[in-house]
Amino acid sequence: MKWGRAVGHFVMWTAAVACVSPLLSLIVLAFSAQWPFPHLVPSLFTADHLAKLLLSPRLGEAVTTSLELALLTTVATLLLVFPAAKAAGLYSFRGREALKLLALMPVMVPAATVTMGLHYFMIRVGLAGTMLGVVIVHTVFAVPYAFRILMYVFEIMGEQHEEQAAMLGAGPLMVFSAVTLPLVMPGMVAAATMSFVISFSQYITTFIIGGGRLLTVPLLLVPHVQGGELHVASVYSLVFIFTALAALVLLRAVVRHYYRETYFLNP
Amino acid sequence: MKAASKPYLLAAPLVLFLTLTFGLSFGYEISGLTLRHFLAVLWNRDFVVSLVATLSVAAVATLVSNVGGAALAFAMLKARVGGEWVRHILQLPVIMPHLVVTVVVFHIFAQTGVLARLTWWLGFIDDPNQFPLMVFDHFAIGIMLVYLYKQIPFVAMVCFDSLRGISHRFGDVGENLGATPWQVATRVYLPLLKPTLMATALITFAFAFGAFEVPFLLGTPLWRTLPVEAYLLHINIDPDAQARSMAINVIISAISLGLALVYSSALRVVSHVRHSDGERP
Amino acid sequence: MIKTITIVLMIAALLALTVGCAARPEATKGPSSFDAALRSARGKTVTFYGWGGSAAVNNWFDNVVAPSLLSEFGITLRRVPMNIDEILRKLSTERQANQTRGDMDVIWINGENFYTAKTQGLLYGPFNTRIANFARHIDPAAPDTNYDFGVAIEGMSVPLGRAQLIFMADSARLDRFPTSAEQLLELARVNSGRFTYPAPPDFTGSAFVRNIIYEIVGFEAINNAPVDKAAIKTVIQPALDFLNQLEPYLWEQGRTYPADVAALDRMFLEGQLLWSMSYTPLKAGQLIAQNRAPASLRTFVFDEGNIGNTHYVAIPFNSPNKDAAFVLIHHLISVAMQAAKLDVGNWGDLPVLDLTRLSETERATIAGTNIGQGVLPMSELLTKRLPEIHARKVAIIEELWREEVLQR
Repeated sequence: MKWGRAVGHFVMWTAAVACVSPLLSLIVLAFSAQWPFPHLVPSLFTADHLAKLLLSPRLGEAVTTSLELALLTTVATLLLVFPAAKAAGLYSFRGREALKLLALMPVMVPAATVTMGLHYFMIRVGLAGTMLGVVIVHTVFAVPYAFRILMYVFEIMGEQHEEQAAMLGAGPLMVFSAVTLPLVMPGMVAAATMSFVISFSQYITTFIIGGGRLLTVPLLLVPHVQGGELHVASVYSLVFIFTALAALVLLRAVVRHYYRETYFLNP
Repeated sequence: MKAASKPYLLAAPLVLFLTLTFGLSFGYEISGLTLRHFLAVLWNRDFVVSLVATLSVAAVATLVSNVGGAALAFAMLKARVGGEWVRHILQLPVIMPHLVVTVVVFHIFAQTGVLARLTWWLGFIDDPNQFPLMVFDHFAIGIMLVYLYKQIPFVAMVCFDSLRGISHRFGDVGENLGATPWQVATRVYLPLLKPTLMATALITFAFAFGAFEVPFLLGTPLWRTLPVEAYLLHINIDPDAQARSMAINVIISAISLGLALVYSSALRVVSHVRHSDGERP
Repeated sequence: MIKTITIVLMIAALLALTVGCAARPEATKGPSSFDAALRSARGKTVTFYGWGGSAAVNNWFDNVVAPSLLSEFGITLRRVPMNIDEILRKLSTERQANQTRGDMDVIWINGENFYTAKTQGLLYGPFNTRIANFARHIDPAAPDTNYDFGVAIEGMSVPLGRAQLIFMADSARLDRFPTSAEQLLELARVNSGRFTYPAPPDFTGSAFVRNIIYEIVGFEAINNAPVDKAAIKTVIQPALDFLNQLEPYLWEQGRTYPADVAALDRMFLEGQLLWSMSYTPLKAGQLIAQNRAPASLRTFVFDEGNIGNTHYVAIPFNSPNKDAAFVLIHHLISVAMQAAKLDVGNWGDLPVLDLTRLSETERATIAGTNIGQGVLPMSELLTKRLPEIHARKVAIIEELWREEVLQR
């Protein structure tokens, strides 16, 4: 028992350090001007580009648009996925396997392929270059993750709680808000997190469907990675990461505020 | 007590949404392709090399990230204290875009990277060229590092969430009955985790199999993965190249889909076994 | 289950086919005259789509072009960073979908992409002679006014700037610079593992391979060769042999190559390689000005000359504001903007103006521009400038390099 715990701690904290260390890389890269081998720290630091990048109105616009898109995508994904995941997680019916497979399809097909075809239809119905159009395409790619997560939550939860509540005379709305929602809340938060993250880091889809009318942080960031301007790319990357983290922390805080007692799945 | 149509009604919005967006566009993309385009792609001598390379990279990345991810999830569960904290930290790699991770991998693992510099200070090498090649290398080490950084935490997160749900119902019982942690892990948790792992394995495989940016920026020019091949054909000015690029994309999708089918039937066998064991309510 | 999926896909494909077979769009009309464009464009927003990977280039557009366009012509500029292949992908989809009002007013383009765009009918024009500053400042007889990578321009684009392949080395680390293919081989032999080039189809790496071909078999030979793989292979065989001869002395014995010029730059700046190359002729000046390289950095080219090409702006067929596009292009090739573009603090890109057509003061403006340290003077670059071959040969050469040099 003791040994198991010690090994657990070691593995866990090693992984945690490995997860965080790239942040250090990015912070150093954001400020380094010259860094020849074999120096362990840059031989020349710079901060000239910092004010220009951070104060640019384009960055503000990009952060706002990214957040709006990610929030809308999260809401749209959860609305679509929640009932379907419940169906796949709780009931057995003909076509259940097909449904599971269909929900996974967007990860099977290279994103650029789908996006190009989708762009064609979006133009025809006038959704190309609109926020709604981009939210739709982001949602397509967020569905597989959110679906899987919620499906398992429903599988674990089982049907009996809802049935018991109904037998005790609770109406459908009451069952949903007092029984189902609190039980699946941790799963909802996980699914929302994934949806948010998927949308926030979309590049090629935003690019093609948004047509440049919607400027997001990846749209600013990626060209500088490709162009090798790492001091610029690192600054944008850090903005990207901290905005996403802040948004997710906020989301969790809000959920925790409303559902203090998610006792069953999270004892 | 419930109508037989209930699950269908629940699933309808998602099914409709996916067929209208995804199904329609995919159908449109492949509507212009003919057998000739597929033959042109398959006949190329580079194709087999690309296919084998792409499959191997995706397979190794999937194997390592799922084993690693599951192990990490167990560790987090075992450690009790701090697991929730690490669960938060794991979000960082999940959030970080692949391209950014590419930059970081170069910064740490290139021959002039942080590791090479440390090796120099320790006196093991006196020139960057002596440091083992880990980017643009033939073994795709750099590409793999990006995938592992992104995927191990993803798998660990998903596994940890589902383990957390089941642990205190089954794990504690096992431990109270005197089972060793290893027995609890392999006999109790692992079977319960199997469906989760199969899903994450499918997702991680499909991603690594279809990703373009990472192998494009960190791969060796000697062999190219299928998505990179598709991209290079796409930007080629030869008018036929576009269609061949799309044909490769269809092949990629078909392989992933085929795998998913095999998987889902395997999954059914697994869940069937579980049902007959009476483990599931 | 498989049946369901097949049916869905078939329905989708059928639907796609029915919507796909619509009539070709009529291009939206351009302005009747340049003066009319000046008047009607006021108050509008014009979009510029182009590669956005250089902070210096972005800075020129955002902080030099945009404010002056607004104050002089009352037009707001919106720059959208987008790679040219995405731009063309988007345009060709829009063409298929009959979208007559698109998003892009001006695009930044050249070479094989121009060829693709022109042959697929993605561009508006001919229009170049209708731009006032084009008539005033640009030499109509100059080769790059008429041909872009050997593709006839026929009024469909306006030159924006001139790029040229240059090499860079640090004079503190290398005392003699290779100014011919032979010297490069010799230096690489002495400094084994310290030279390499980006693997084609990287744009710069591909230009380097062509530069070697020019040097060894001559521009005329490859330029006159037919667009045919076997014929081109015969012509460039001596150059391929040279590259194979060079290979064992390159980084990692030429078993692998950096994926792109950004990686090459990084390896050079971090001290692993002795040289780097760039398609931005004043790149050394930029790097020194930004403190990213020491002041001992120097630019050089081969004695026989280096490949140069011109980059252009064009108007997509479905540009929603062609009048404003006219004015933006007019402004981009004004003396003030071209001089500012040459300034290494902004971009460091060579002007396209015909200096003989400019007034004394205008010439002085260009001559007085700060082009930075460690660079070659404009006059030397222009005398050592070699033309590009046809865009379709470029792809064939890249394929041959892969088969005959890389995979050997």
